[in-house]
Amino acid sequence: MHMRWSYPGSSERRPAVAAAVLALALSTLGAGASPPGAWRLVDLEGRPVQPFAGSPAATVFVLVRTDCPISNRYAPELRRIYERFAPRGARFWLIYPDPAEPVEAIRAHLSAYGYPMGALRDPHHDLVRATAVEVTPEAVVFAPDGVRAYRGRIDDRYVRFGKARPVPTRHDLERAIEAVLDGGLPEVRTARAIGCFIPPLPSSR
Amino acid sequence: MRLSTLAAAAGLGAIGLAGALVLREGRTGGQRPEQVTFARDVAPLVHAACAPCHRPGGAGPFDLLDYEDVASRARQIVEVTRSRFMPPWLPDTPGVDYVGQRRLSDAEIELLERWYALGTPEGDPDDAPPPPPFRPGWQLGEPDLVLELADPFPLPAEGVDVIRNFVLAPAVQRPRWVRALEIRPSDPRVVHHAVLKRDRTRCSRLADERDPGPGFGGMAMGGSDYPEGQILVWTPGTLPRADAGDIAWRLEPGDDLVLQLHMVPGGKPESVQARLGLHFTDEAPRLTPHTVVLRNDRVDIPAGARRYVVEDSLTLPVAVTVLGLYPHAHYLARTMEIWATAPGGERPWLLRIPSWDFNWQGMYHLREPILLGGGTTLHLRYTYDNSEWNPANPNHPPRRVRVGNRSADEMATLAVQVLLADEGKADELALAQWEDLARDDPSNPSSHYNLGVLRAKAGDWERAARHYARALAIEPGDAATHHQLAAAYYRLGRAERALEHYAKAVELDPSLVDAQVVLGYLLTRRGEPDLAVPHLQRALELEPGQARVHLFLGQAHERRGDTGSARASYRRALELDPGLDEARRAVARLARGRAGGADPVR
Repeated sequence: MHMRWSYPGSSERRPAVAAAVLALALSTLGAGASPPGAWRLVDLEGRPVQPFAGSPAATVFVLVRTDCPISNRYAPELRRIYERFAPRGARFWLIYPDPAEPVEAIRAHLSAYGYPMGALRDPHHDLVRATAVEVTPEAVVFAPDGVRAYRGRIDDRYVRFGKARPVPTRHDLERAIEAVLDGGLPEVRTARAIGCFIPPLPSSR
Repeated sequence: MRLSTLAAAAGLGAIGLAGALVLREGRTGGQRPEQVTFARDVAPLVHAACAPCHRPGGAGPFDLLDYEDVASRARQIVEVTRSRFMPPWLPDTPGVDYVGQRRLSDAEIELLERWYALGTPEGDPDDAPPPPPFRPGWQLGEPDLVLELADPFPLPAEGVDVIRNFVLAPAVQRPRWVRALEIRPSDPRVVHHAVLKRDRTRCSRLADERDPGPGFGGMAMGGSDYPEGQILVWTPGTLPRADAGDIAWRLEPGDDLVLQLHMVPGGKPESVQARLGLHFTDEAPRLTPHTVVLRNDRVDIPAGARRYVVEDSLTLPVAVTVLGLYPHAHYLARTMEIWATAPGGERPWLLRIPSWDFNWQGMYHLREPILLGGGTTLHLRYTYDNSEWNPANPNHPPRRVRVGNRSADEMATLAVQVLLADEGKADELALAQWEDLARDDPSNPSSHYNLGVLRAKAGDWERAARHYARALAIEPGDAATHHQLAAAYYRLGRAERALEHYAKAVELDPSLVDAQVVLGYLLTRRGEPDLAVPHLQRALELEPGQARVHLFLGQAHERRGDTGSARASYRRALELDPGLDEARRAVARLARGRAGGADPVR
């Protein structure tokens, strides 16, 4: 069953289905959170972007920052995951949640680490609050029907801050994307991520 | 720039510390303040404890200088200081402080937590101290000599730690005393620590040639060793010492330096370069430090062992003053305890590391050197976790681990930098160490070899020969040991045995010039000049300018009856050394037409 998002400006409207989807999406949100359709995500030029446009087979957000060594060490792995699943219809977005990071630094970061996926900013922390992510890197996977299939770590490489295994033993993000692309949900829906805390917005400190 | 005598006296050697840090304790000792602000309370603490690395160009990935930097990361700071992941400092030794120690007190950690809980108030910005000024570039000023890697090293984007050794050729024209040195990697965020050793052999160059790519891999550093008594270790954020006591070390023409970098991949490929700055002094050092080494090579950790204990001890025959300690292990070590037991019953702590982390190892200089009397015993006790529960375990699943140089092996060593109360007792101290090692691990030929060298130095050729013979019993194929044993036999007047071992030495390693020479000489003396000639010629190929060798060659030719060649050799000897009377007499003798045998070969 392949659903479509109903969002302002879409040319197709299926009110009943849209309402059900919205209700389902809302049920997975935290308090004070807005539904995905209302997230004010922007690209690096500041233009609004609807990340779910076209109802991809899976939508993957990975929160990163330019100066987190844990996040940066994952760059090659994230590229591999992208190369594996993008051809199968998964759409990936890097999310830079810290408004204090200058756009030039982000561009340089994308280039230096060879990230192939698109990059967005979450200046109001709509996505951050809605998904309750806490650190970078942390991933969130959405199924096409709007269900949040997974939130958490990329793999179990990091045991705690500063302590990493040489080789991960559980690849939670990959399993989650695989499950969604297969039409289902992963066994593990959340797995605590280790990384650099996402600082709260200045106004909320 | 001339430093004051005191500063120069403090010299260097061990460069493993951040000299200028003094952590604030006054404000937070005693009662908890009602209000905690960045400007008044947090800024001074962060500037002292964090900013040396967390600043532009520093080893930290972000700055911690102003309110915005610190407040936006407050939650992170609280977490990493509470877990003591930051500041990175392994020792926690009761009653012992180290130079440049980067350790927050419990009160300071609570202060940070309180500040976060209060919502990170800024306070009056005018009250905030300015971030500390950091001198860009060389911290000790412009060095006398700057060396850099011949080629930058390509560090991959991911994978396990890379340990790589680079040969640097200072090529000094005359012997120099090195009083200070500074290492500046191109990116301090990527280099976790560095070690510097000196190579007086050609081994590290050979290793470099054999290994494709810049430098050579592995933890062993070719034929290099620490310069006498020095332990040269650099870790991120350390400032080079200008006050370590007058213990400069000697760099000779022809010495190489080997710089080992421990690098951690960071997600993108890096081109790693490093510059080494040496500061010289013309004053010979007043003091000579020595290194006392404890090691246990019988480490054999079963797969899955959660708490494998390794111990070692060494009784010091003479009084020493402990300046610093450098413990070493690989990834599996968990705890380290090092202490002394004095004859009078005291048990002073020297170093305790409750939670070892290979990434943050360093050299630890005592703030107050500790005097240990003769008869004191040094102890170490390390524990290792070779189970699946140890995230640092390089093997999945865990495997049996023994002593070795690869990072998947383990080590249990301790280097202690000391000064001797009586410099004349240096060999006695060295003997005690090697005897201890030989007892602990009789199967290691090095201990026996080194004991041989020490006995030979003292002129005790009998004992020297016995030690060398033991080393050979374990490792019969070592050319150097055959050479040393041969020399000992020669001194003892046992020419036949000497000859036997010289022959073996050059068979194993034809480049041993001295061995070729003495072998040639002894063969001639034994009445086998035909056998002698090739060896002497080989020696001359290696070192053409040796007058005495030409003399010996002449004698060999003369014994063979080849007066033409003999004359040529004698003449050459005289050319090289006009004062060589034996050669002069030989030429005269041949000129008078008397054939060989008239002048006995002495």
